[in-house]
Amino acid sequence: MILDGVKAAILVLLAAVVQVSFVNAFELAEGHADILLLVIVGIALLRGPVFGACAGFFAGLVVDTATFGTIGLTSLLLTLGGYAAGRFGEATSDHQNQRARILVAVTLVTVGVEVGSLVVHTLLGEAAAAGTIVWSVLLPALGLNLVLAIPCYWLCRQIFPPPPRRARELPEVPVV
Amino acid sequence: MARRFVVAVLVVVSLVLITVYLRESDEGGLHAAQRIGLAVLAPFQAAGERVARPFQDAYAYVSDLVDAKSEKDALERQVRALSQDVIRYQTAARENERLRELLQFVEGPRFPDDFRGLVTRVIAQPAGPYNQEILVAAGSNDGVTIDAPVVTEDGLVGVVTGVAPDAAKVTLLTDQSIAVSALDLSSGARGIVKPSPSAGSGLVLDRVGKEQVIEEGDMIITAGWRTGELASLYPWGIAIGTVTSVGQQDIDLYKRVQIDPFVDFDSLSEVIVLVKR
Repeated sequence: MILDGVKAAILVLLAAVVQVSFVNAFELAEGHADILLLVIVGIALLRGPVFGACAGFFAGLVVDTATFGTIGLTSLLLTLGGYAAGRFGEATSDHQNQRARILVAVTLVTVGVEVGSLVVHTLLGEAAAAGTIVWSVLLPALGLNLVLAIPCYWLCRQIFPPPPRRARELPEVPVV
Repeated sequence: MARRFVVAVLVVVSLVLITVYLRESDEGGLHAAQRIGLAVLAPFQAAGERVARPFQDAYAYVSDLVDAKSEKDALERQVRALSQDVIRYQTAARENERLRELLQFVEGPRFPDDFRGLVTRVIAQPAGPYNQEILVAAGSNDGVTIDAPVVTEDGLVGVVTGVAPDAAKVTLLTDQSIAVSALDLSSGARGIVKPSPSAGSGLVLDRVGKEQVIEEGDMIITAGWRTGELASLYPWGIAIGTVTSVGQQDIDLYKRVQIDPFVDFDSLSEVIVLVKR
């Protein structure tokens, strides 16, 4: 658990730096891929909602610090995003199509975080046109996130390998 | 339950952080911590930015190319639209100028008294050298009748030979079926203006007796005669053309008078139909 925490902290720190200094520069319309969010979703799917929420909280603190933003704002969104992704992962852990599971989780969390961001910013008096946010930010970001979702999840899976499943015990058959 | 509690704590902490951060001054604890965190992260960000720079430049280059392409397409569309506007405006300006000239003629002293002028557009030009007729955009609904003279501010054009409700056929002065009684404004010599059989769009003044005096440069106008109930279709005084050559031979009964018409029959765009009051 502690080892996972250290690995998660390093991964989130790296992802935040990459996000802030690299990925944010490549805009499609006004949106860009959110590597950090993909990492949080990957961790949450592999380690559950609490771990995902904690990773999201820490990632938000790092991002808000690195961008000189309002401390706590991104933490709030990514905490909820990580928790939701973890819950989704638990609910669909037996699903056969893992790729679809990852893509749906990324879609839900991306839309949720973006809408939440719009709401929070509006509450803080930083209103933006919802139409512009949806067409210029959300849709391009969603498209890019879906493209990068599988590679990011694969990376997270290498760092956080899923625990081995217990072999299902066969019922004893009475020997006649 | 415990999981929800953890998440709830994180959410509350986030909200507290937001509140404290927004309420405190720039010298507050959170701002100070943020500055320290930023100082720690800055080298990593700088390194990341340095690594990203070539990719950013390449991306910006491609992005600019795409933008330039779409901008070029948009500008080309704009140029096409503006070119059409320019053509439309130039056409309108020419038409406006032409209509002003016609209006000046209609309201001027040269215009025949017994007629009112109906300015109309030419909607069909002569189909060929054997068909010296035009169509105009005024018809019986506008008061146009058969045999109504048609003029421009330059002079006589022809006569209406067919009328529909919203259009009329005008036979030009250059058609072989047309003959107009005319006179020399200087000498008063009379004759009949007809199309020249050999001089393209030129006219001749026929039936001018050898004893009558006509000189080159004289202006020929409509004679506008009246005998009892009969009257010329064309009112007096409409300009037709100027005399370009005068000749006579001993065996001829009449002088040979060539006329250069004032009207350019090949480029008629608007004409005035003379409608009797």
